[in-house]
Amino acid sequence: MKSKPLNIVFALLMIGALVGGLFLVRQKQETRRGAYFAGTKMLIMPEKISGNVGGEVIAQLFVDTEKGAKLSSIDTQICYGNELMIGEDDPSSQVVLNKEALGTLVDASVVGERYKCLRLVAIAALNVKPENLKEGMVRVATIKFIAAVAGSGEIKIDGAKTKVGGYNPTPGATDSALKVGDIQNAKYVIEGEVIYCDDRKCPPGYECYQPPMPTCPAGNVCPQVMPRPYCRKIVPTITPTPAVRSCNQSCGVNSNCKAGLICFPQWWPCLREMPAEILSKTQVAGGSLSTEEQNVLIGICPEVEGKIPDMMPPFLYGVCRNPQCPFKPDCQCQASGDSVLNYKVAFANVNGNDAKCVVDWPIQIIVLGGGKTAVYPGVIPQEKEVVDGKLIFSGSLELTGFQKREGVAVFAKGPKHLQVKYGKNNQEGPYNQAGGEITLTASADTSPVYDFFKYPMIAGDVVGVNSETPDGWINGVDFSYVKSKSLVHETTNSGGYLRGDLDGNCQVNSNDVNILKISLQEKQGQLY
Amino acid sequence: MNKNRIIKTLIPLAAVVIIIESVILLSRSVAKVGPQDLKKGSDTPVSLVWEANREVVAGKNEEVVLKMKTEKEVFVDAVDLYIKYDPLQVTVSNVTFDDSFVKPSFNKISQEKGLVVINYLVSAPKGFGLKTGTGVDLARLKLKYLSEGEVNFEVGEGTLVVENESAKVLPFNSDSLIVKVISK
Repeated sequence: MKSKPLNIVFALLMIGALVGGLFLVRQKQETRRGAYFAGTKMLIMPEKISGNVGGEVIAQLFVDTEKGAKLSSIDTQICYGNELMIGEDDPSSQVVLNKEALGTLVDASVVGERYKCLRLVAIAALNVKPENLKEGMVRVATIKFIAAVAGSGEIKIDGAKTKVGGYNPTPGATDSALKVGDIQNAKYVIEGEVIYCDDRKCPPGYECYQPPMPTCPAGNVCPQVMPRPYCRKIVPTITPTPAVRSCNQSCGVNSNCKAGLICFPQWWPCLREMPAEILSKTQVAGGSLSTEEQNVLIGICPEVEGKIPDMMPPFLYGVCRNPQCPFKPDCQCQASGDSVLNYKVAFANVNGNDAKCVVDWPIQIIVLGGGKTAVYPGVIPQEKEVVDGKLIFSGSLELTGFQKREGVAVFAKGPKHLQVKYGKNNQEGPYNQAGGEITLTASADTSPVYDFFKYPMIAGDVVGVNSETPDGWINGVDFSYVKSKSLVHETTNSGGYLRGDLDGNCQVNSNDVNILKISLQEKQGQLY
Repeated sequence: MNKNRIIKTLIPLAAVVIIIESVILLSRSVAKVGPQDLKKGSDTPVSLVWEANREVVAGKNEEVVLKMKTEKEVFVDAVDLYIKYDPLQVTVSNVTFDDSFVKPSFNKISQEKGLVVINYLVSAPKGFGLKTGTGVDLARLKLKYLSEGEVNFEVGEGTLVVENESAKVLPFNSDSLIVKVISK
C-alpha cells in the first residue's frame, strides 16, 4: 500500500520531466534566432553520381530553408577531387543558375590548389519582391563537371565558407542570415581507363597531368614520392565574353565592364565591394537597409553616407560607371569620340497594355560597319512607351570602341528572342542585304533616332537542344518547354520573369504556345 | 488494488504516448528530403526509316516515304524534320502526310536548297502516343528522278524528336536512303 503514493509521485515526475524537456528544446530553438533568423540545409544531389572519363558529371546544388525563410543570396564553395574538372578560364560556362531562385551569378571561380573548389556567389534576380523569393527546397544551380580521369571521390560543400542570406518574413525583423546546418555531400565514381604518361604523351583530346605531391601533416614523416602523371581530358577552352559593356549597361562584376569602368549600384560610389548579404538586399526593389547594415556600408565606404536610398530602386545588380566621375550618367569625364546609337525597338507579340512582366528585358546589340564589329550585351533601354497597343523601348547607347559613322548595320536580340538585323530606319521586314545604311554621330543629341520597332524581335528561343541556354533557333524543344509550362499555367507576379512567358503578361499559357508557333512559321518561312 | 493496477498501466502508457509525440514533433523539422530526379530524355529508341523502291527508272514519278517507328511506347511533343537531297538529281513536287498523325505546323519544299522542311508540333497535353512496334509516316515525297546514277536521301542537321513531359530530345536512328536510278 505504501508504494501507491510513491508510484503516483514518480509518474508525475516523469510527465513533468518530459514536458520540461520539450519546453527546453523549444527554448533552445528560440535562442538561436538571435544570430540567425532561421536555419538551412544544403545538399548536393543526387547523392551518388557516376560518369565516364571525358563525359559530363552533373551535380545540383540545393538549399532547404526552414521556417518559411526566403532565399535571397548564397556565397559558397563546392570542392571536388582531381577526377573532376571545371575550366578555370570561364567557370560560369559550367554553372547553370536556377534563375527562378537566384537570378544573378555574381561570381563563379575556381579556388584552391590541391583540392579544387568552385566558389559560387549568386543573388536574387532584379525586381523580385521579398514575398516572391523562393523558400523550402530550392534548386540553386546545376554544375556540369567534366570527368577528367577515372577514380572516385566526393563533391563537398565547404560549410565554413558558406553564407546563405534570406528575407526574414517577421515584421520589423532586420536579421537576414540563415544558419547553415546539415550538409549533404555527394559521392562520385568515374569509370574509364587510367592512362599514365611517364613519357608525357597522351591520346588526342587528353593532356598529361602531374598530380601535386601529397601533403604531409606537420610533425609526420611521409614518403616524398611524386605521384605518376596521368592523361586527363582537356576541358574545352571557352573564350570569355569580351568585357565590352560600356557606360550604363548592366553588369554583374567589374570584369563585365570595359576597361576604366566598374560595376556598382547607382548610389554606391566606391571601388570596394559590399558584403553579399547586404548586396542581395539592395536587389529587392522597394526594400530598405537597417541602420546596422547602413553603418556596415559606411564603414566600408564612408563616401556613401547620406547617399543610401531609403527605398531600394529597381535595377539590375549593377551598372558600369566611371569611378573618376561616378555620378555622371554618361561616364564622360571627357568626350571619347565613340559613336552613339539612338534606337527604338520592340518585342513581338507583346501587348503593351498587359505587359506587366516585360521589365528590364536585356538586349544584346551588335554593330557592324567598315569591317569592324562590336558587341554590347545586357543593354537595358532607358525608356518605354505604349503606342497603338505596342510596347516600344527606346534608348541611347554609347558604342564604346566603335567609331564608324556610315554604313552601319545593327543586330538586336532579346533574352528569349531570335537575333534581328536592322540596316535602315523604319524597317518593316528582314533586311536581306549585306552591310547596312545606318548613319551615326558621336553625340546622343545629334545622332539620328532609328525606329526599328516596326520589325520587332521574334520570340520563342527559350532553351537549347542540349542545354537550358537559348541556342539561336526556335524548334520543337522550345515548343515543348513552353507547352509544358502552359499546361500548369506557370505564373509570376508583376515584374517577374518567366522564360516561357513570351507575351510578358506574367503567365505562360496557350497564347504563348500560339506565339511560338507563329514565330516558328515566320522564321522557317524566311529561312527556306 | 484494482485502481492501483489501472494507474500503474495508464501512467506508463501516457508516458510512452508523450515520448512518441515528442519524437514525431522533433523529427518533423529535420525530415530528410529525398533527392529529386533530374529530368532526362528517355533512352527509348526511335527510328526514322525509309520506304522506297531501291531501283527506279529515270523520269518516272515515284514516292519515297520516311516513317517514324519505335520499339517502346513513347509520347512525342514535336518533330522537326529536315530531309536533304540533291536537287540536280531529283525534283520533289509534293509532300503529303499521315492522317493518323498531327498536321504539320510548317512544311516547305526548297527545291533550290535540296531540302524538305517539316515541323510537327503536338498540342495535346500528353503529346502523341506512339505504341510499341507502331509508326507513322512523317513525309511522303512525290518526286521524279532526273538522271541515272545513285541518289542519296538523308535526314539532315536540325532534325529532332522531342519527348512529351521531359521536353528533351529523344535519341533516334536513321540511315540514309540510296536509290539506284537506271535509264529507260
